[in-house]
Amino acid sequence: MNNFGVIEVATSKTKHAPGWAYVPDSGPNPTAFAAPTSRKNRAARNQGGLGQADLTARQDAKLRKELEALDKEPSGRDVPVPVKGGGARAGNKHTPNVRKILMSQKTFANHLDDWIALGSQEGHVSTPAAWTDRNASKRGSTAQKGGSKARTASTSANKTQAPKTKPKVEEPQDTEMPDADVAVQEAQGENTEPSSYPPDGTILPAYKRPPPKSHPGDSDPLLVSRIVPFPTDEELRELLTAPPLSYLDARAGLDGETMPPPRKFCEVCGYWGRVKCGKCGGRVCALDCLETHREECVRRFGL
Amino acid sequence: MAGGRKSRSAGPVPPSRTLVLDNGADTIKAGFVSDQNQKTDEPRLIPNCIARDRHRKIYVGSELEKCKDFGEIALRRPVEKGFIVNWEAQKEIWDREFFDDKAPQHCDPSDTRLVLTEQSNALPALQTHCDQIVFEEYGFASYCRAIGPPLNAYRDVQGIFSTPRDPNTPIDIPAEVVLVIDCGYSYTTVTPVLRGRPLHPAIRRLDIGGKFLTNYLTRLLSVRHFDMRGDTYTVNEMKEQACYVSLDFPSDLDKTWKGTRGERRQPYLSGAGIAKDYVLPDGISRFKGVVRDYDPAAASKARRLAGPSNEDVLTLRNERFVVPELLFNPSDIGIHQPGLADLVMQSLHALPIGLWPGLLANIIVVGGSASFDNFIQRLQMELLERVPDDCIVRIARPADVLTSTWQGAAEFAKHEHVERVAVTKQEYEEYGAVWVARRFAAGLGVD
Ligand SMILES: [Zn+2]
Ligand SMILES: [Zn+2]
Repeated sequence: MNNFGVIEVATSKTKHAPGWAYVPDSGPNPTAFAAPTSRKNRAARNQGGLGQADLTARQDAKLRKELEALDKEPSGRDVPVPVKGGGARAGNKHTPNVRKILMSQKTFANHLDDWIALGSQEGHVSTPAAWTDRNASKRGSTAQKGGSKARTASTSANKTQAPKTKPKVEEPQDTEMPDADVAVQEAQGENTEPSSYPPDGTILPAYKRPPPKSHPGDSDPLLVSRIVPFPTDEELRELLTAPPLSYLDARAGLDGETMPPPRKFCEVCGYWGRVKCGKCGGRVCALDCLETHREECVRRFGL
Repeated sequence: MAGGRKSRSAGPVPPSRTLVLDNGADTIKAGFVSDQNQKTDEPRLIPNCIARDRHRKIYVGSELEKCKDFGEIALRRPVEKGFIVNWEAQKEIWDREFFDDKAPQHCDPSDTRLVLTEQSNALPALQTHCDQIVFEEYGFASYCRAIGPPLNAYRDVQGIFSTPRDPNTPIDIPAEVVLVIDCGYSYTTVTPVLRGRPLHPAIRRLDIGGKFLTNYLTRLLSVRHFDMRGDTYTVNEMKEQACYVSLDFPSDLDKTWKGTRGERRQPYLSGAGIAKDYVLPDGISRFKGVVRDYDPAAASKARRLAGPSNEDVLTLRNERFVVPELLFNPSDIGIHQPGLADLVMQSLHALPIGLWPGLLANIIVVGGSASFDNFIQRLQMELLERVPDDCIVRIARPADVLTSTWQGAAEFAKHEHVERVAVTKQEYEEYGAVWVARRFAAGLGVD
């Protein structure tokens, strides 16, 4: 299984065209991606290959372009909207609001930019809350027995807590607020909560059905110790009345350290990308695909 | 909150009929709900686009079913990134489907309530546009805009799980606790829901949806076979018919590898049960593509003849599973976002641990991309690796993944909860768009 790709490239078939260097690369964590300084870089280029920083920049640019293309709507913006003349709609008059909306040619990206610009003016920022932080501080060691839970707390430790404000449906007299944006973001000065909470447990009523079938592990002390307390009514109330996150905050990001390094694939056939092209940084699996790639690579970047 | 509710109970009787719209980027799901006790009809599926075929003929919405040749078709979609962005196009489609005299689902807004789903975490300006159109242009008597996934909680969720139960036990509507994964056209989202209420701080989004996967397959085919960039419509059908989620990715990848120079490995030659032939539509006698079992003999014969054959056949190999794989490993294509299982974990980490067991045992997946074979098995496998040992992970996929959210919305429209959130035209005129937006954002709140 290990006699293809890397080894063959290195032994028999490699043609040393000027400016070419195929780098065997099967390790999951290539140190190659540590960008060297620009001076080293130039030295590397003089030796016949591109420096890693150049390669990385070239690959980044290519990747960015590819991802944009994949996210695009296939064609379409030039398809005209046919207007059906006559009929019930002929006499319709639009309100000024509606006329403005119908005329708008803004894309989603335009609207997002508008929203971001507005936010930088008004400083509305919300940050996703990490409940595990609170679990850790409130429950102390009892909730932290399981190793996985300890890990939980640490991975989200870099996140800040959401402001403890609740959305409030404004009384009608407040309607002149000029900006729709405040609907979900605005912090409240006064507390509109009813003065007394309902007794604990009213948000999710107690489980009333017959208990589940018994299980051989029921009496296992290891399992019993893992049972975590159900959140208090106050915690639930806070969750249920929390405002929606913004578009950007709801996008899941990566916790750099917890993710394994990305897998690399052959750009030609999709198999594992075990060999790296020294010219463009692209990956291929073995010889057949290497040759296909080389044609494309020469066409794009020259010899 | 109390003020709003009081004025409602004193106000006019709500309209007897509700138009329920799940206004997706790819398809609108539309139907009416009237009587509480009446069984709801299936919704109509309407392509949410204006299309132009290669002969420059234009099709609006459901007219697209008259189109036979999808080669080089151009589609204009009012919904971009999950949100209604282009109202000029959306209004034209809605008008023809619902409001024109001869519309197939004719509706008089002045005597109808509209329940309209939206994507979570919307931009406020787009929400306002929507509300303004609904009241100022159409004049609906009553209106409720709600994010889609939580509405699934109004279905018989335990029925979807086939949980054994006493037939005399009343069905919990909305379900007490459910985690909804929506694999839509624009995004994949995770939404934890308690009693029909979304837990906003824990909603998480992956920016990969069905559209992205189709575009990716288009690219793979164009690099490896021939240019399919003008045939996204066909590629999308190919994706739906032939792609699956791998349960052993390295092994499947191995089986579909041709080998190094000159060599052709045995699993590659035989197809290893993975390779499939896809017969492309020719626009003359065949308007839909067809998936066939891979025929090694035909493959070599075609090569020997090397002449123009009467059908274009693509052999799909790793394309069948590397495309849906992006939902589980977005980093495969360089997207810096977690895969589906980690997306669920990020959502859970925004919640008290005490809620985890309930959510993990009640996961339902909806949306078009949830229908890939092995989807829920793979998700379950990956979640089990990530949660505490004693957690039960239970995942169900309703039979009607595409219309599940609509079905939930229809149940919601019959439930008393809708009265608590819906806004009348009179209220809109009296209190304004900002008040309406606040009310929808606050949702049901706490009882
Ligand atoms: Zn290859
Ligand atoms: Zn190259």
